[in-house]
Amino acid sequence: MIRPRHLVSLGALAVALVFTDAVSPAQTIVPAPAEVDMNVEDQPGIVPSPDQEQLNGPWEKQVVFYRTSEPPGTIIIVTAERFLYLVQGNNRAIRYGIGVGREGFQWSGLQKISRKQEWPDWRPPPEMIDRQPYLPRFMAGGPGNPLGARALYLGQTAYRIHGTNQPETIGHAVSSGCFRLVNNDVIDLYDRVPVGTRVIIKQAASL
Amino acid sequence: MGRDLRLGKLAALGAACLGLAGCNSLSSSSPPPAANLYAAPSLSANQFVGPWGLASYHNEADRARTEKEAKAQCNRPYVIGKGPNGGLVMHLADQATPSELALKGAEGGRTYIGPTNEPAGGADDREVVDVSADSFTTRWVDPDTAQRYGTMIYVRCAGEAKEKAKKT
Repeated sequence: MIRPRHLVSLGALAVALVFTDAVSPAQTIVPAPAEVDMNVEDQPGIVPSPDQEQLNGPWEKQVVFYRTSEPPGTIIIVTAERFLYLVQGNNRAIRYGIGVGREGFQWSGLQKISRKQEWPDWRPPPEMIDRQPYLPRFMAGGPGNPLGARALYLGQTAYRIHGTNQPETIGHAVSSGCFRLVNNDVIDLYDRVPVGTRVIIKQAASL
Repeated sequence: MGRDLRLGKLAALGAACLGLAGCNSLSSSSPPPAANLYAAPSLSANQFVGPWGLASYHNEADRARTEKEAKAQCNRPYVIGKGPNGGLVMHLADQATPSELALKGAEGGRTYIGPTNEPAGGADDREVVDVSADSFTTRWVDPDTAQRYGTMIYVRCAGEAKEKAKKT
């Protein structure tokens, strides 16, 4: 019996085979996302070392072959792959490894970046306060903040593309629906895209 | 206006009380200090009891706006209770269950909040680094905990609680 999660993994593998070419020769096969979601809470105050923030393999930022009819400058997030693509034109995209919403917190749709924020403040969600009542209800932005170095707000939703102080969560389904990148990557993306950028969120890539 | 004046007088009285060790000692109802572990606190446990807006920061430049944010968090207050032994019912760092903690006096007029069986300034304590009639500020003694949670500002929510009580 093929379960939905297996289909997702097979789909990610198939897409990787089609869309990856000599631009990124070392990444001809994208490993399937972890079968088991990480059970990781936000951890305020942890400041990862540069070594910890250096991603390797498929999760490292890289230019890849990417065929799409979307115009350059468009962001395409493929949740099942754990990748965010910034379309460059000429069948190329910059690809970033991301962490996505855990099961039950994944979504799809079309949004625009409505606001950009350096070192965003963090407000733990109510359910997190229920579990960890000692947490501050507001933590000013800065190194160690769970939202990391930058945030790109998606339309009028509560969701954001943001950094993280937990680089080990990249490639996993851990969030409440936001998309997280390591800080160096989110700074890079932040500098490349303006407010108004189209963001397409897909559950799986379409062939 | 009369109510504002009365509140102002109360606040002034509270602030004056904070500055007088004798006044505070008289009103203190914390558990008696364990032998040789810490001195009697100069602050009263009663002034910490109640609902508080809680926010934190790491950079001093963020203090002013963090204070405003703390005030705005009274819809999800952190509630400090009074323990059966007169201590403060609060959470230790990373402990989901609260426990009764002691107010601890220390050299130089310092005040700590922490487990009753540990000396003032122990690894599980937080230091009360600033206090006024409507707010107080703490910093964890343990460097790792302090790094993770930053400087924590508590702003009293009592006014909001009274307003809510009037409406209902």
